[in-house]
Amino acid sequence: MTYDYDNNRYNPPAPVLPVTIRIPGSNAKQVTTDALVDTGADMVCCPKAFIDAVGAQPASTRQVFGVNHAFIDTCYTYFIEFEIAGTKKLVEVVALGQELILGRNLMNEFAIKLNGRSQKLSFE
Amino acid sequence: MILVDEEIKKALHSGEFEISDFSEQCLQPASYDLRIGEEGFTLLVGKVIPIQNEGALEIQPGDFALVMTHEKLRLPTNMVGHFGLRSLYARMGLLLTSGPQVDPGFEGKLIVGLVNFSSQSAILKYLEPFCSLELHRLGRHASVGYQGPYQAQEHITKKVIDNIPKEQFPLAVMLVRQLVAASPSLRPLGTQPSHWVEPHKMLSAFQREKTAFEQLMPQLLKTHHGQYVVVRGETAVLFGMDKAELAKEAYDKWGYGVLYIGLVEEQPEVMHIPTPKIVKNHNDV
Repeated sequence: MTYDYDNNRYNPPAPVLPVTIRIPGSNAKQVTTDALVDTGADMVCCPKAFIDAVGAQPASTRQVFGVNHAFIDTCYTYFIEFEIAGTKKLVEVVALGQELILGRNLMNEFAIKLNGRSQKLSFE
Repeated sequence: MILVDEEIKKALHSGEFEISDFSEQCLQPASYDLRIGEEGFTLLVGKVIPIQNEGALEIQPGDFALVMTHEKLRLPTNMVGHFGLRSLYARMGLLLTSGPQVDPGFEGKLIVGLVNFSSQSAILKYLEPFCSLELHRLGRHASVGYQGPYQAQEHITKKVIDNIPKEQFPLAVMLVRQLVAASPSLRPLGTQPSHWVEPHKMLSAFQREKTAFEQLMPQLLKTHHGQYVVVRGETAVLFGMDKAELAKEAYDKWGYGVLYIGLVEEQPEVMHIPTPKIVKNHNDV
C-alpha cells in the first residue's frame, strides 16, 4: 500500500501513516489519525489526549531523553493496540507531545520504503 | 423506642444486653459507634486480612470488602439494633451493603460489606469507629430469637467468603471502575488544566504496583535479572524477555486493567526521542 507524504502540516513534506489506536480487547473507544513516521524515535509518542480518549491505563515508566541526549522526564508508558493497513500490533507508547509519532518499536515490525523524490511511503 | 446514652449504659450494667470491650468514647447521644475489628477481606486481595496485625484495611477503588466489628454483641429478644455507616466514611465514597438490622437474640460480631465507590483507596484503621448502632427496645419479646447462620460468628470464615459472588466485581462496581478510568476524557473539552491533575488520583492503584515492583527489585535482581516482570496485586506474576509480548499475555489472561511492567535491571529503562517536537510536558511521573 502506498501513502502520500503530508505536505500540509509539514514543510518539507513528511511521511505519515493512517493509524487507528485503541486499548487491547476493545474497540469501544478508538482514535483514527495520521501519524508521523520518525525513524529517529526509539518509541511511539502519543498525545495524552489520545490516550485518555481510548481509556488507556499506564503500564510502565521510562526515562525520556531528547535532542542532544538531554533528559526530558520520567514518563508513563501505555500498551495500546495500533491498527495500520489492517495489521494490529500491541505497542508500548509514551505519553508525550502534541502529535502521534511512530517510533522504531512499531516501525521495525513492518517493511517500509520511503521515496522522498515522489513523496510516497510504501507499506508492506 | 430508641435508647439514649444513659439508657444504653444502664442496660449494659444490668446485663440486659452486651457490647464487649465497651468504650465511653464510642457512646453517642442515641447510638454506639462500633469499631473496625480484627479481620477484614477484600475481593482484590482475595483472603482474610488480619487488620489487628497490619494496622489497617485498604479498600481500593471499586473493591468490595467485608469488615468485622471489634465489638461482640448480645441482644435480648426484646431489643433490635439498626446500624449504618458513619458519615465520615460515606463521604469517602464507601457504601454499606449489609444490614441494617441486628435481630433480637443475635449474639456475635457483625460482619459488614463495604464497596468503595470513590476513585481513591479508603484506609480503615484498626479500632476506628466506623459504624453507628442504634438500639431499640421492643414492646414485647419476640417469640423466637435470631437463629440464622451468623449466630455466634467471631471470624470471617471460608463459608462467609464463599457466599460472595464469584465474579471479580459486581456489575455496578465494574461500571464505576470504567467511569473512573474514562473520567479524563469525559471532562468538558477546553477546560484547563486538562488531563494531568485528575489522573494522579486514578493512578494510585498503578503507583501501588510500581512501588511493589521497586520493593521486589532486590530479590528479582537475584532471580530474574535482565527480564521484564509483570506486577499485579503487588505480586510478581509473569516474567519474560519481550515487554510487548508480556503485556499481551497479561491482558489476555486478566483483561485490560492495572498492572506494572518493569525491567529487572539496576538502571531504569530509557528511550530517546531526538526531535524538537518533544519537550517537557505535564504527563511525567
